[in-house]
Amino acid sequence: MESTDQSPEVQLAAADATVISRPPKSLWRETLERLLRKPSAVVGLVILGTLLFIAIFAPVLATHDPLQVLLDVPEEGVGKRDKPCIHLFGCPGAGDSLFDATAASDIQMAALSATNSLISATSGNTITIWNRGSGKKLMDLQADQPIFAIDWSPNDQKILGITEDEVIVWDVNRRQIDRTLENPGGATLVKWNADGTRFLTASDRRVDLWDTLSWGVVSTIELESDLTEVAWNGNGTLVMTAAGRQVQLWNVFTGTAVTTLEHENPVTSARFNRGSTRIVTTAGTTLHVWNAASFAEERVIEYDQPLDNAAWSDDLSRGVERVMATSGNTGLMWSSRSGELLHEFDHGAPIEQIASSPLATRIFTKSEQLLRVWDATNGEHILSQETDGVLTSTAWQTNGGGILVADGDAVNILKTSDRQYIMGIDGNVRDQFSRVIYGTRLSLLVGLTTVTLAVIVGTISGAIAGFLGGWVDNVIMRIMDVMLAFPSLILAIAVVTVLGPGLINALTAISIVFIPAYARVARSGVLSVKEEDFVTADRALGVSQVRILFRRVLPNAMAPLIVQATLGIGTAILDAAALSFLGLGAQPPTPEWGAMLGAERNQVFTAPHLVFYPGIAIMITVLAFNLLGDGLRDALDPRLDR
Amino acid sequence: MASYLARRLTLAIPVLLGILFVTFSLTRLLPGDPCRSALGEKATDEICDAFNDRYGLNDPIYEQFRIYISDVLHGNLGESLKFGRPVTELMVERLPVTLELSFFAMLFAVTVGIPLGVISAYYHNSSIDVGTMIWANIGVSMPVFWLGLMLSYVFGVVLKDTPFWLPPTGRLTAGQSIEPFYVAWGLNVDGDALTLPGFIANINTLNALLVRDWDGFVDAFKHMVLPAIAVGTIPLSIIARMTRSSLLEVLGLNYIRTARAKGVREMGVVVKHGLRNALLPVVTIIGLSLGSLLSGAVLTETVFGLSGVGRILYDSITGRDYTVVQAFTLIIAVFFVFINLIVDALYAYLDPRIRLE
Amino acid sequence: MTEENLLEIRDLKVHFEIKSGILKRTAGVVKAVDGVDLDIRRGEILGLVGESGCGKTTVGRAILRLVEATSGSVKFKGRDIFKLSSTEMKPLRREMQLVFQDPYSSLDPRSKVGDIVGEGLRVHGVTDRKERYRRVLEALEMVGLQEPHMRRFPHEFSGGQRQRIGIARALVVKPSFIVCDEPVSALDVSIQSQVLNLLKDLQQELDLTLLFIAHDMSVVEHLCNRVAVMYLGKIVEVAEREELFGNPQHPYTQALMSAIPIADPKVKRERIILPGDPPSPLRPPPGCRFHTRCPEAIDICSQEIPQQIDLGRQHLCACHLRQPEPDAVQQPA
Repeated sequence: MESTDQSPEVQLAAADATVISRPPKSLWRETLERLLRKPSAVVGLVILGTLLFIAIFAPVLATHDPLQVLLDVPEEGVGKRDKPCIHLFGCPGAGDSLFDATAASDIQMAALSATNSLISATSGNTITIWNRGSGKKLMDLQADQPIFAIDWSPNDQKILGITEDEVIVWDVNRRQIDRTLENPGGATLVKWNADGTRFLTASDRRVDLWDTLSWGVVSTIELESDLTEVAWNGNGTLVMTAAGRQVQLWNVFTGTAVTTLEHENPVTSARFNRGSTRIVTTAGTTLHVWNAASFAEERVIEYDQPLDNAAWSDDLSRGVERVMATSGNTGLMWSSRSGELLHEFDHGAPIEQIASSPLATRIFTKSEQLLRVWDATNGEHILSQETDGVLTSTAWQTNGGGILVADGDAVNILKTSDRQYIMGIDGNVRDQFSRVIYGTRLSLLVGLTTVTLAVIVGTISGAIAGFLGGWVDNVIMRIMDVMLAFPSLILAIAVVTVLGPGLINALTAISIVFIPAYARVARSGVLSVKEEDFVTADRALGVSQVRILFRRVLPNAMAPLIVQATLGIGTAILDAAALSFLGLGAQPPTPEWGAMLGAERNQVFTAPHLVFYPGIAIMITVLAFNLLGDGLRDALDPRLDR
Repeated sequence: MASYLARRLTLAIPVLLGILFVTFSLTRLLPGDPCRSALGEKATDEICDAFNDRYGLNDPIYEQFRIYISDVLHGNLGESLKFGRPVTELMVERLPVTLELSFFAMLFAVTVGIPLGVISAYYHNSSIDVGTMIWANIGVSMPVFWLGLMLSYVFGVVLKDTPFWLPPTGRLTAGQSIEPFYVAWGLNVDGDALTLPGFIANINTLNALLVRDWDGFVDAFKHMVLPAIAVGTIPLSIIARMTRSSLLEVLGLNYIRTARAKGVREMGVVVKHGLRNALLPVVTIIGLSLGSLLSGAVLTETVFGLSGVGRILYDSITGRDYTVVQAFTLIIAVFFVFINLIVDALYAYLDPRIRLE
Repeated sequence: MTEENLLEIRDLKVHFEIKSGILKRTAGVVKAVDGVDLDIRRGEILGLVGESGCGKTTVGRAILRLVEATSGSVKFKGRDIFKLSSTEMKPLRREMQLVFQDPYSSLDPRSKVGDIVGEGLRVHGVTDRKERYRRVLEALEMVGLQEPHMRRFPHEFSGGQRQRIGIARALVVKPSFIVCDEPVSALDVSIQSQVLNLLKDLQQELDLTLLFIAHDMSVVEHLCNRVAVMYLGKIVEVAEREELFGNPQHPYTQALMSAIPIADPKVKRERIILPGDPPSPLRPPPGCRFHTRCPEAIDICSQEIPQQIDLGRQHLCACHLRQPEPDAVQQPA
């Protein structure tokens, strides 16, 4: 035995030196190191870190205010509950084509159906119809003679066409001619009224009004000079004609003029606004705004050049009232309230048409071979499109966001905006992506606060029960037993039913329901630690009970509590989401994932993305906590490390 | 064994009393005057006095509690404010759907979960194991209602026109009906939903089996598949994880090593020697999962358009029908306590050591 | 006699009640310690030996009031500590300390060594940090550890080192009496001697009184001045070390002695094999508790409880077969 030769002191020193040579390591640090060796825990930590980042920087990451109703959304080409476009897959930007089709021969005229779901192009005797969404050609409708003009009925069911001799009604569903009527006399134009109960046909000096019950002419309007404009008002009770120096409004039933708006110069254009409450006209170098109810002239705007192509750019719900006209190469925009000139759009070629998007956020100007899109608010140029052929038709989609363009034999829909809605738009026209982003905040907050509350109350009561034992233990643990007898979600539902729905009440309910689990874990931890020798050592030293409990027993009984708490956060988030789903938790419009799911649950067949994203967000968050909890359990209990 | 059961039963009594106390306090804690919340704000004091008298609300609170207990013991759980019918009737009427759903969900969870757990343990630390456990982890992290919605979308819409299509809502295809077994058997019984024959006939799959209506069975079964998967996924994941970990623990024991040393084939070791002993904790988990199954039913029945007990609760929650919520909470809790008792009994039966305690 | 006794234990009984059922009726009583009389003299090392489960640890803890005694008295420096309130007890706790058997569970794994050792000082009113630091260091150096060790955590140390930390924790409050509860039985044999020597040195240096609880006779022979032998809750024999090892009187002691291995292979000795297991303290046998296994048992042993009798030379023994005359019975060693 060589070791006996050395004095014990020398041996001790050698062994002790090795301890000092290593860096000090607390149990927490060792646990962390063990945790970081578990891939699943690392994944959980990474996800959680990301979620935390998202939650903190939500205002930066979100593209919109999560609560804001996006008033101008249709202009972006994304309607309510529309499918999302994810950047990775290449979303169309401004100027990209949303729809592309080629007709058999040159197109004279193209049109979108009233709901924007179908597109028609007329060339010669043929009307070709495509599906706007899929881009598929659906049918060809034939007439015996060349078609002058067509018009879609307001419900997309019928198309009116006019030829030399006939007025033809096609049934789009049955893909055939519904009926053929006689052209009353050289008419070259047809127009449905707003509800599809009447239509008009017009030639140069004559307008016939038809009824779709009898399919006959109800009344006829004869004009003294050539027609420059004819239009229905919004509810189909009046017809406006512009001819010579006069703009006249006609009663549809009697065919008599209601009023005549006199101008000093020949009228070059006349338009109803969207609500048919006003009329804008141009004549010579002046632009006139008339009230369509009182027929009073509200405003006259003078310009130094002749004006044409009067148009409105108005959205009364936002208080936007603007009028537009063109003069040679220039598009002009005034405020119709103040008469102030707002913008001049330099198109660069003689403008044939100026038109505003339905919500008056953009306008386009069109010349023979050039189309330009402008921002209606600040007058900035957005994009321009030059074509080889002559532009035969240009029109805004009535749900905005795109312009129908026909030139040569091609029909396109041009996207006018770069804005993206990554996860689509929800049923209340809010940006889903921003809502999901902000939901992270709420979910993490919900998980952490409920569990923190439950852990604090549960640990204290459980620790007291375990440490004191006796009747205290009995009373506390029997109460916990009763609470554990309820499935947690059911009890939470019952509690919220009593407290009343709301996020705070849901949080309280979940916290209460979770208390027993932590109380039990804390109690058993305290019971086992209480008997450890180091606690006895403290008692031998006369350390006070309170200090032993909080400084010695609890820290050492913490490990299973931490595991339980981490796993509990996941469950809490799930339960909170379930409560919100049932309408008991966060109330709309709060961007809470469960509430979002609850609000859009009935849309799952039509807009699955609105259900998918909040759900996957919940799942990922809960999964992260579960992975971390499992990892922690293994890291804190080396026994399982196999 | 009998004395063990008796002991467990006596231990359950204070818990049951506590449950009654909790459900009792639920309605007493409701904000506002119970009379005016039931009869409207305009009820006069006289009317309210009469109301309070009638429902014993003027009695001291302990007397009210006593009356409540005796009511519950007599099977009187109150009347739904919305339907104007006793809650018990409503429950019994709707129970067959929930029972059917729970049965198939549990069947799914057990028949898939245990084999998954065994395979995972058998190929411990392999990619199969890791993959299975990742899926099990995802399974417990999913909101049940969301899973239900997504399943109904994928199988009902995306896979439409393929052989994998499954009906996303309802219990039977419109137009399909299964003859109640008591009619087919020529029994002269009352087929009301509240009688036993009516109750059984309302369990579509069982009824179809009884009358040997195979088409009807397939149809009813197809309608149960998606809800059962949705409700059963969480128990499935839990069962798979539990089977795996408990099997792994058992496989580390000496008698397993002995069996291996004797040359028993590995699969034989795992299944014959290991699984049998590893199943004990799994039994507990299955019992406890029934609780989450019921919570799941509340959330999924509405998603799949099944008019079960969960649907009633959902409607009562949204319609503020407190009596139904209270009664439902009570029934579920009591049910849960008895499930635990049965699990304990089963456990004691399987492991004689526990009986001694 | 009382002058030289630091501690007097009289008829100490510690019974644990076993409760069962929901009504918590007492189903049985474990008589872990059942009437122990023992004096511990100032400055001695008294060994308390016996099989595991015989109650020796409970005696040690009852003396420190870590376990509440059922009856009896323990007088420390003449004061009956069982009659003191917990506040009156606190200053006494400083004087009586404990060293544990298991060096792994006796140190809080989440505290640094410096804090573990310093805790006693904090409790006993040393509020000045510097003073505390100085005294902790002093105690650590006494057991052969150094300043850097103060910032380490227990799990970084080996068993022997931990046991020394445990000793430092006991020493830091400058006690006069330490209960050593099998302090070396959990250690490797190679480490045991270090710790034993350390204890012996410290005892002499600091003039400590030790109650050394052990089940290993050779350790006791090496260390103790006097030895008490315990069997099933009772002291069966007490004597000076040389007297006990040279002249064991109680049949149980004799059996224990015969089990000590002798380093010389040539020496043959007859081993006394005791039949059966020790009876359960839940239902101790009547009369002499050892009679169920005693090779010399006679009728009276199963009926009457033997009293401790003085065999002379301060040799006390509780056996019906032994008479008070000092030289009446001689057994070969």
